[in-house]
Order: sequence, then C-alpha cells, then structure tokens
Amino acid sequence: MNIPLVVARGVQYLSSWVMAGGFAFLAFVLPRDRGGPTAATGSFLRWLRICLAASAVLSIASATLWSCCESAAMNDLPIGDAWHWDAMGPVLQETNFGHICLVRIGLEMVLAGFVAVVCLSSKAALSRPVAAAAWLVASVDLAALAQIGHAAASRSTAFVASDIVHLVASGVWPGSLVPLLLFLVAATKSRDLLLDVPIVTCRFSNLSLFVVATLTASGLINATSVLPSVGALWHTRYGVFLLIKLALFLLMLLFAALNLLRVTPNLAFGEEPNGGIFAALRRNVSCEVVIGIAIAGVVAMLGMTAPPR
Amino acid sequence: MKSALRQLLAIFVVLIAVSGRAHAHAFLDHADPAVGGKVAHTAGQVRIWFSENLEAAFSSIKVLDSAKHEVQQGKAQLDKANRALLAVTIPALPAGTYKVVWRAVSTDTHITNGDFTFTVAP
Repeated sequence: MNIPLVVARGVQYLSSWVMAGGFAFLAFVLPRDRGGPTAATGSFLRWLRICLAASAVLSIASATLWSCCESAAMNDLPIGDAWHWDAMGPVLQETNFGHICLVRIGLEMVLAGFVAVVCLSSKAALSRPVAAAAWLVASVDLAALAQIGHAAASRSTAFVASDIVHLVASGVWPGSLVPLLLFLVAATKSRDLLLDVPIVTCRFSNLSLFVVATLTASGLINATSVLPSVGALWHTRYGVFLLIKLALFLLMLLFAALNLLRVTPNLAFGEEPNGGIFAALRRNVSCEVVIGIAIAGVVAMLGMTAPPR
Repeated sequence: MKSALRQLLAIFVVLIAVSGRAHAHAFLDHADPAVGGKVAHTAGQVRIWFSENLEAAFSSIKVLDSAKHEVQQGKAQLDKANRALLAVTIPALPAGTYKVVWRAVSTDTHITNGDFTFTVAP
C-alpha cells in the first residue's frame, strides 16, 4: 500500500470538506444580526478562522504531496526524486491529473488568501453573500476531484455529474460538522452563544436533512456505476471498502437521528438548553466528526482501488 | 410537493440507468495484430484499444523481437478521436514471434502493465 498517497488523499478530502463546511456554516447556518455576525459569535469565529486557516494550509500541502506521489508512480521513481521538475513537469503539464491539480491548488490558494486577508481583518467581510461566495469556490475545488477519480475514467457524463453532486454535498455535511462542534464548544464558555444553540441546531438539522438525501441518492448512482453486481460488495476489495464506508455513514446517520429526534425537540428558541441535553448534543456531534474522519480515510482507499470488472 | 418528488425520483432512476460502468484501471480490450494472433504482414502499426481513456505522456508500447530488441519506431501515440486507442509505428517485420509490452496510465492515474505476442508468418 502506498502510505504517503493514502495520507495525501485522506488529508485532501478532510481539509476540503472542512473548508467548504466552514463557509457553508457561515453562509447558511450561523444566525445573523443585520447582515453580519452577532456580537456573541466572536469567540466562535476566532476558532473557526484558525480551523479554516489550518484547512487551507493542509489542503495545499496535501495536494502537493498527492502530485509528488502521482509523479513517482507515473515516472516509476522513488518519491524523493519525483518532485524534481524533470519528473513533475510532464505530470503537471501533460496529464489530466496535473491540469486539475494546478486548478485546485490555485482555488485553494484563493481560499487561503481569503481566510488570511479578509476573514482575519474585517468583520464586515463575513457577511452572508461573501461567505456564500467563498463556499462556492470551495465547492468548485471539491467538485474538481470528480475529474481525477473513477468517474472521470468512466467516460459517463451521468456518473461524473453524480460524483460532483456527491462531493459538493459532502462539503456541506459532514463538512460543516466541524464548525458546528466548534460552535458548541465555544457555547460552553459563553451564555450569549448558549442562547443561540437552539436556532443553530435547528438550522443545521434542516440543512443536513436535504444534504443527506442528496448524498444517499448520488452515492447510490455512484455505486451502481462501479459495481457489476450486489455480490461484488463482499467478494471484492473495492466492495469491502464501500461496505465499510456505508457502515460508517449509517453510524453517522444514527448519531444525527439521535440529535434530530431526541435532542432538537427539547431545545427552545431563546432559552439556554438543559445541561444534559447540551452534553448529549456535543457528544453526538463529536462522534459524528470522528466517524467523518474515518470516512475520509476510507474514501482515500476507495480512490486508489480498482472497481471490480 | 408530490409531483416534485415524483420528478426527482424519475431523474434519479434515469441517472442510474445512464451512468455507465467504470473500470478505473485501463485494461486491454482488443489489439491489432490480435493477442496471440498470426498475420501474413503487419499493417505498419501495433494498435491497442483499452477499456479507459489514457494519458499519452506516460503510456507506452514496446515491440520486441525474439532477440528482445525493440523494433517499434518512435513513441506510442494516442488516437486524437479515441483516447482509449494507443498505437505505435513498426516497420515491415520479417517472419517470427514478437512480444508487445504495454504500460497504460488511465485518466484517473491508475497504472496497468501487460504483454502479449503475435506471429508474423508470410
């Protein structure tokens, strides 16, 4: 197994999800006060900026490592020699992977610049339209992954379209679970933020329901595009990875359902949540985040494994 | 609401029906001269059709004679109209058995290798 490539792909998916999810949370979930963030969200925004900055750096670093790994494989060289221009140049200039990789690194640099310059210096820049524009850029960055995955090789427009939808949706959920967890952690130290927990949880649940339905439908289309039969799920290496991903996804849904059916009905707008309910909410979201990290690892393995013939 | 759901379901079913199959690794589909085939004379090229689109820069075909000398002329080229068709030029070959060694890098960067033989028997 090519460990550096698994790490590069896994970190790439994770950081791209968190970046898209962070901006989606700002644009679609966070309560607004006359178009800008409320004063109470200040401490949460500090943590979110650090998280977005780290994701931007990790996404650029992992995309670079991914390129080096592919250069090593294509040129049949050890990875230490693969980053030299003689080897890397043809990969970046003459292959579909290289072109997409350059575009994605460019988009990630735009997002890193956005986080570094705009988010860190101006509160006004966090208005909903600006956050939505950044989410759009992050979503294009995620969607571009479909052009270097199994869908791209299939020559099927429907499969590519479905994969794009799947990737963009994954940037919203589970991507925005990380900012939700940061919000809940920040709320433990701020009474003002605690009062916002019911509305944030309600908005997040509404968004998640739509996105999970989209993920399920596009995931089914993707699975039927790569699997020749249901039996391939347990008879092939690719199928087993897909089953593990499905099991982890269902486990995430279980925690999401607990929040939706048991926690959210006990939250009242404008009131502090009960201590036990709030602890259960944080615990469930933490579990979802951990499972999301595991899914990124499985997705990295899936991308490197040949679908059954 | 019900009609919107029905429309979404119809789109979903159509997408499943037309999404096609992905192999991801490029496998040899067929070749000219054919795998293990016997030809009276070669047509000036060895052509291999793969199951996926390829990357030209890193895909190759070598044609070796019985003494393991390379007889192909220049680099293998992808067909402009079909990026799953890789071809290399060969001269008029004398009678004998030739080994074709191929390396294919598919659009999603997966790498496959293989070989086959054909015989020239005028």
